[in-house]
Amino acid sequence: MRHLLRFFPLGDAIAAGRWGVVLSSVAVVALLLALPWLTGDPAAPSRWLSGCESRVVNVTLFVVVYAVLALGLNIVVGYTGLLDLGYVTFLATGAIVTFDLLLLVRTPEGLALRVGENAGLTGQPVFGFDGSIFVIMLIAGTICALIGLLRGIPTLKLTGDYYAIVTLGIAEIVFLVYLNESAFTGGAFGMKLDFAARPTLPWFEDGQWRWVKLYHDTGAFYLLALAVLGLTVVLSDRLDRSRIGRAWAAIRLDETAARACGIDVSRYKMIAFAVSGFLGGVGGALYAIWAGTVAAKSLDIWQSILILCAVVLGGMGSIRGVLLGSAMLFSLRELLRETISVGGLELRVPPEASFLVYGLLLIFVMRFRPKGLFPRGSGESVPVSVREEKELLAAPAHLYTLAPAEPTETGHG
Amino acid sequence: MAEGGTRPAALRLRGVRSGYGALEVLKGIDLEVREGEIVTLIGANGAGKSTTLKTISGLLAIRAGKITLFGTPVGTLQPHEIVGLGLVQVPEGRRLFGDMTVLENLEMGAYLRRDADGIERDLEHCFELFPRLRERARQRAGSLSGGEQQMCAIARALMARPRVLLLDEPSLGLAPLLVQQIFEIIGRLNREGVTVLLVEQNANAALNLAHRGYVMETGRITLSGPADALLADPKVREAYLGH
Ligand SMILES: Nc1ncnc2c1ncn2[C@@H]1O[C@H](COP(=O)(O)OP(=O)(O)OP(=O)(O)O)[C@@H](O)[C@H]1O
Ligand SMILES: [Mg+2]
Repeated sequence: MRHLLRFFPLGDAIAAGRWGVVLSSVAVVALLLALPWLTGDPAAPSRWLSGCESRVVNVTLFVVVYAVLALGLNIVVGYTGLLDLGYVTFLATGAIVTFDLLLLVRTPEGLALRVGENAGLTGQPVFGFDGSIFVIMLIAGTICALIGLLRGIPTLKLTGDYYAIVTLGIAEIVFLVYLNESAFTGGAFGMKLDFAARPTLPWFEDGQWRWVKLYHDTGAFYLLALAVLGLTVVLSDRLDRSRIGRAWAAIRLDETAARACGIDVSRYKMIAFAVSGFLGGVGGALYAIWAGTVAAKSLDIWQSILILCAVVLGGMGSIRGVLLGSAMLFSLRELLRETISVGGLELRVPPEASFLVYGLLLIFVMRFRPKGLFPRGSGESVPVSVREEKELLAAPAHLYTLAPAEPTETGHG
Repeated sequence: MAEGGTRPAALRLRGVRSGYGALEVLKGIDLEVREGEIVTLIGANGAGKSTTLKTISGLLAIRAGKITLFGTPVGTLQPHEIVGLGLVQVPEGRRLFGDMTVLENLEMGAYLRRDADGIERDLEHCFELFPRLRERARQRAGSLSGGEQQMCAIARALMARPRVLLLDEPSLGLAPLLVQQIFEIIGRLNREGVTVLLVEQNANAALNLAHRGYVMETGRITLSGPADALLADPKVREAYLGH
């Protein structure tokens, strides 16, 4: 019975009776679900749906999308211990794949992207489907997982600074390719999702289930993004506590020792690259819908840095930390875009200066909490035990507790 | 002491060469460890002892020659495959997972095994060999004393259930009493059936424990034979035993 609990992210906390963690997690989920209702218009036919159009929900969505990306990056940075400076590649690829799936049309002259001067083009969507978001996320994720594996080939033997620099370089190459291959990325124009090209999701509306188009301010998209984040949290948590997660931890702490323990370091690194890439692709697809328009130019190195900052700020390898870090950094990012008018004066932080603010925040946090806001393993023992299920089942008989130094327990062995 | 001359070879090196980059360290090593033996490899600093162990365990690529483990060529295998075949190394400098507890370190040692009951039995065995580790089971390995770290490193290797155990200077930095204890445990493991290749600076203790020994100088084996013969050898006495 109790070992079933472990299957869920909060199972540990429940089993250990750490009710503070349980209650606060439940409260956060409840708050997120209720947020549109709280910010909605009481007079609207659906207060909850009207709230989805509010600025607060919009910023929350931005945070949620980037939290998926940050958790994806955390697989490589937090679990495997490799500093990936090129994560934007996955965000960009996921977004571009999403746009391409929806905007590429077949014309008599061949394939064309319905952007810029071609915006008026009509024709069969190349992929001939109405854009189920599940299919899109799956394709974007899979392509990014493959890119993650490909990128792994030249970087497999690298550690430390060398890994960081090579991932940075690869991301710059990809960035330039996307900037120039305008046939697929819209180049400098960028791409825009219009009414004709919107991913769809099954949604209960007017008393029946139907496929509805997703916009950044619809309830369907809000719930979808929350669900994806929830699944990402569950996946991260399960991986972290699986055999794979133990191998990652060993690699992170000492690669040579991991090898001496019989761990196939290359294989487990590749798994990390693929999972991390997959999540990046899914996050990119969500980002495409949230933004509605994307220019390759804006998906540059700073995106990698910002996502990395969220991970470091919150605590590398700690799910709660990464979530908190994302919430702080990305809501701040959106807030800094606001214009405040004080007595007729329009005050706003120039976009270039916003990085100054993130930098100050990071310095401040690192000064007082060098391991991040919620470091890995704080208040929870991260169990890496192979016997954990067994131990829980036979809870009273803790064999290896720190008993006084007496030669006890001769009954065993 | 020098028993088992007819036993089959557990580990055999023939003309093994390896090194780092342009530097060739091992210049053709011939060495053999028979099943059930303790063999020690002694030599001055920088002779290439650790390099030999790293080459055997696959951490370092072999450049020429042949290594067989129970008759199977292992020269081109990956380290984890070699561990899977039953050869486990206690690396130089212990290399524990500092942020994991002692217990977690030991469980990492058993990473390739799936037999939960066997793992539990071996864990109990390790705690019996090193009672200190039981007391420290939930302590961060990085905060152990040097001696405790060495015990933990040996125990972690044992958790892989090795048939052949490679030890790289287990006595390094330990008080004489602890060295004696560790050596006793190595002897006990050997009596329980583990074949041991032991690299040591403490040549006297190593040769007293081992069945046979090899002396290494700048990448070559210069002397080999039964341990008591080496102990009596004037050259060995002068160079490595200090009298
Ligand atoms: N990672 C490395 N890169 C380059 N050279 C190395 C490396 N490791 C060892 N060497 C060199 O290889 C030679 C043999 O080193 P090795 O570690 O095998 O010696 P050793 O016999 O174990 O010595 P000690 O008793 O001091 O541990 C030395 O000259 C050393 O400088
Ligand atoms: Mg050495």
